[in-house]
Amino acid sequence: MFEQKITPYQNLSILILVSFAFQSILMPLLLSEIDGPVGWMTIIIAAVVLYFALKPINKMMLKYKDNSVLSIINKIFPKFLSRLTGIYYIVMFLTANSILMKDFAEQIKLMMLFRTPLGTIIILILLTASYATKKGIKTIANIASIAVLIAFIPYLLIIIFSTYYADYSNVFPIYPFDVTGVVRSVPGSILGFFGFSILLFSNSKVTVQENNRLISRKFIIISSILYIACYLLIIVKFGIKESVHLVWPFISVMKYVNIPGFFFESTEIVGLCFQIIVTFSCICIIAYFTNMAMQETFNTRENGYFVFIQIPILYIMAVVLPGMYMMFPYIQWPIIVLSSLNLLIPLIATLVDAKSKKAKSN
Amino acid sequence: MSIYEDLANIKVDADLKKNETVLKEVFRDANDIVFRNMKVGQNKKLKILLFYVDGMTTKDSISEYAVQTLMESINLENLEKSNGIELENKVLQTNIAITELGVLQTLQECVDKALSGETILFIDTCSKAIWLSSRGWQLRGIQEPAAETLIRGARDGFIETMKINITLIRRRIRDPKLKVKYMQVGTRSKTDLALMYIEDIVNKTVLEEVEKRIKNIDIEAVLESSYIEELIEDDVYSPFPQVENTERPDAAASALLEGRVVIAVDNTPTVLMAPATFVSFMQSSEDYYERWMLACLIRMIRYIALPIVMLLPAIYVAVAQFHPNMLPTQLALYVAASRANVPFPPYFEALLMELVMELVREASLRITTPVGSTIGLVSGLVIGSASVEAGLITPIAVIIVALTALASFAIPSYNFSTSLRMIRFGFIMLSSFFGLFGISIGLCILIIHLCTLKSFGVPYLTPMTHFIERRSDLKDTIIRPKIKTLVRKPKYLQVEKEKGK
Amino acid sequence: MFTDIEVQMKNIKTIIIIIITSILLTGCWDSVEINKREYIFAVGIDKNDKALTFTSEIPKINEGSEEQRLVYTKDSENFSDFYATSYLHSEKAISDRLMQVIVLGEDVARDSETVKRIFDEIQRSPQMNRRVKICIAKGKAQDIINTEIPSNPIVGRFLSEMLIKLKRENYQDVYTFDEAILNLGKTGNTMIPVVEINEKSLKVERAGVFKEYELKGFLEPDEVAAVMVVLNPNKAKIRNVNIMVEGTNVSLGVVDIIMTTDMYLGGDKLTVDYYATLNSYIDSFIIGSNKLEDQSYLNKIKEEAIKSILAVSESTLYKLQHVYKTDLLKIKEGLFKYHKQDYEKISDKYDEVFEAADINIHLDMVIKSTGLVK
Repeated sequence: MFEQKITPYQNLSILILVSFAFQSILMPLLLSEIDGPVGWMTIIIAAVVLYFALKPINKMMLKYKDNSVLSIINKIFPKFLSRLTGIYYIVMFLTANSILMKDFAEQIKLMMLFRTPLGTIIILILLTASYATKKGIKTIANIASIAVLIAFIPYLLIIIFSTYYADYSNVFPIYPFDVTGVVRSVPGSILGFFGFSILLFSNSKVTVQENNRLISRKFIIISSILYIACYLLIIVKFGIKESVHLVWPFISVMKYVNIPGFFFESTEIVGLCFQIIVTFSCICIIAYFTNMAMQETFNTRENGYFVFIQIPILYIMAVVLPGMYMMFPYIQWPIIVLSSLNLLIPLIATLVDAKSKKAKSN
Repeated sequence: MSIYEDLANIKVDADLKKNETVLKEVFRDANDIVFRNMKVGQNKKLKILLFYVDGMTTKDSISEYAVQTLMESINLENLEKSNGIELENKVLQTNIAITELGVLQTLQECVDKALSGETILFIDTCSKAIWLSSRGWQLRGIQEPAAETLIRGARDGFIETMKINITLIRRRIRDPKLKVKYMQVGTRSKTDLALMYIEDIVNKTVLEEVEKRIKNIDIEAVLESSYIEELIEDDVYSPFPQVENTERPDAAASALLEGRVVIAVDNTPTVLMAPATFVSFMQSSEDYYERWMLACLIRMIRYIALPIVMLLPAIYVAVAQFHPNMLPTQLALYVAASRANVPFPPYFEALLMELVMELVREASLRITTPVGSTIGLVSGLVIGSASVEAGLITPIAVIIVALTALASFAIPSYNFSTSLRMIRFGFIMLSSFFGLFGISIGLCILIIHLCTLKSFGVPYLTPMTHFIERRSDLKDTIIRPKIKTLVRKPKYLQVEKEKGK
Repeated sequence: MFTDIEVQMKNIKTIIIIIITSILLTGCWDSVEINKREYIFAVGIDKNDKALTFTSEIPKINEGSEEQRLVYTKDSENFSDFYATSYLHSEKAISDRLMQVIVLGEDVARDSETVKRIFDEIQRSPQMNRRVKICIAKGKAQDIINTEIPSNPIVGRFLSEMLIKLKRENYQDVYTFDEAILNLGKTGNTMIPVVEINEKSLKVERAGVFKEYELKGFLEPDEVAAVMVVLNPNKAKIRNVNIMVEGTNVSLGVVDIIMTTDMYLGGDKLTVDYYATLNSYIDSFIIGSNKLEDQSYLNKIKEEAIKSILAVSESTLYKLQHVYKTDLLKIKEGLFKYHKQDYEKISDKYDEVFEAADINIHLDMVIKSTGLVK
């Protein structure tokens, strides 16, 4: 469990998958907060911010090889602060995971299993994901690679196929654009790159850590291309006026197939089947890193058994939380806080570490 | 201690009689063991004892090249005047014309050799015995393997004799770096086993692991290579095989050239190849003998057959019970109409038909070949059409099951397709509870299992789990690379040499 | 081999698995066999004094004879009420997953509140077939559903296939409910096919003009064609342009249209110019005449054809601007996309601007082929 390592490109698959899951959850925010189809500007700004933030962070992580950001914080900050940071990451991962599960379970319930209790669907997803989490990072990395090949790519292809009869002029108007809206939605876009938070933990598990900087760059570029492409796909299909009302944009895109004579009646169910595999991979990835965060916060030797603690917590949170569509009016401030903390914590750690290094050399 | 346990400690005695007494005690009530006392030399003064198993030896070669030469020996006087080590050396070097022979020190070794088909020669006053190569039991002729027929390709297959199997492989790889290591497994059966590999391209870690696992085998008898397979594989509980087997020498040679280890077991016409990955079970020798484009198409069809084998009945159940809106409207109405008078729910239909299919398959295996396939076909048709007419099942279910059965024959490896057939039942159960969601959950569990599974340290789903790092290996998965570009050994075996033929 | 704790853990795991399995396997909640459902193929909605009248068509599922159908009518408040009542009147579970077409009666279509309520319910339904078609009945939807068509007794299938064909051939702009909703959301206006009884069959020739979820009026077939030319010039065709030139009947067909649009919004004045080049073929002339070899004759044909097409276009434009006051040409959308700043100044009084707009169509014709006559 502790000695397993993953390859740099498996790390990349993990980061892209997790980011995609959260980008699809937070897409309605991006669509509705800006007046006009210029959300791609927000994504570019978020990507640039993260790209430059990653530079010093990667440098620091290379210095402390095989240490995640929490281990580094444990080393350089006082115990109380490092514990607090650890708890913050644990709570954030748990919340993110339960939101992902809840959102996804609702989609399944509505589209596929209308009368099945939501709890049953959640527990099934949870137990399957926990089975994978227990196996360790190597298995999870393998799952992420397989999920990219056999589920993620077909899923994207289905979405692209569904936009066949789209109106490409829907990307206009570009100018004049809503500057306030663009700036206001940057925190949401930054949070959409959830792989950034995962990267702070997964980089320590990579075999060749010298490649981490390159991989981080690739992650930001690929993830932002995917994000922009998905955003534009939704816009060209529905236009900005209708997109504003969408709760699950990808489902809507797959449902709305208007090619005359197309024989397949329910494309969204096929797409959902692929999405199950993608989402389940994301859930077990986040669950694993929650384990890791718990291990580093509470200084235990192993982290495999933490998944048994997570299962009831995640289940209760997923069942109790309202759906995303109900939370959208209230999550503006939490998103700003979360994305700021996610960005600032590792940056502050980098700063403190650089200062202490300077002090030592003086 | 009984005489059997003590045998390893009993050295060959200079006195012939003592050796004979012990051996007769060991082989009491074994009437196929022959003891032949003789006096050789010009004056017929030199006593020898021949000891062999009737039916396992070629007596002619012993008579002609050992006994006769001893009897008509030119240096008679010297022979009769010598004794002990001097006599032994003279006999070995000058008086026996057999090419393969050796010296034995203990009676246990003599027993083991005799039971392997060699003839043991005891010479009075010599404290060592000589084994003379005389294996010569009845062999099955080299035939085309029944389970791995090809349209284009060699028609020879392995037989039950390990040495001949090794020869068949050696003929294809005339490289001195092809190594053959003999080992023995089974405390009673003492089955011979040969570990074959090409020294400069094998993965040393895998080789050491295979050797270690074989040495750790502690079993009474090994009757078939499947025993070895089960005893050395990583996860016995997995439905998926982690060691490949073949009856084709060209497949074994190809595995060796990839850097894998081949295990040939005596008394088995199947050799094992390790490590084995998911992709290797989907490959067939025929892919490399047909034209490139055709081979690519066949490979792709095979990969299409894979989800059909596993999932088609489950998808039928899911669609019929949970998601009828997935079907085109006409088809949905037709299926609903055909199900109108059927008393059983779709999952029961699917399970019943799958069970019948498995019964037919098993039954046709037991029946002799000329009749077996016909009966299989007839029973399938009769049961299928009769059931439809009786209103027990729908025509769609018959088609689904027939398609699934056909698709399972498209998978080249028999034990791999059996695993998929087994898993199919699990998927049917899951889909009967949760529809397509259940199938997806089943797929997730399957993926987890396959991602955890390893074959001698090599991940089972390689190269898909490392599709960037090992992208050069990906070209030999869904399509077959052109022979010209097939120069690199799979990266997952981390071979030392980059290029080979 | 195993310690006590490990054995205990194993036992606990087994117990948990057994408990969870037995809970999960207590019922297959969504399992309803395909033949135990009743699939509504078409539903017609009319208004009555108290509520709405739902007329539904359900094909009978008997082996080999699914051509028979069941039609029944119920008064209900909405779809859910309709399903709930129908559920209790049949041995099968009612299902709208294969619904082919929704027919709105004319009286319903003219009531925007009712239309909004119905559309909202259809949009919310997660189970209803997303490719359900929509059309408006001229008169009562019940009559449409009750029509017995000898060649295709299932009206839902007949209408669905008809609408697919019309969309593919670019006769109609909208054929599914989702498209209608999308247009209504984008511009507030849309054009929905109108179905009428035609002797022993049904026909879909006209289109209904919808503005803000209310039926304003109808467009005749040639008017619909004119609107389609503007909306989708790449796929549009003008069929059967019949003119008289020097005493001879000439019939042309326009197969290829290249169109450019010029929009200008100066203050409150909107000017839109459509420049179209029509590539046409002569469909029918008269055998034995060589007049088509004469360029001046061809020019006369062009003139007459352009005049004829312009007449229809201008009358359509007049209808849209002044009678229905509905922008079906998606000019609003074009202004929003390409002249956003100017559009925002007049967005709240767009209807008046549109009514007063100066919309001009400039046509040029190229006769690609005069055909081969022996």
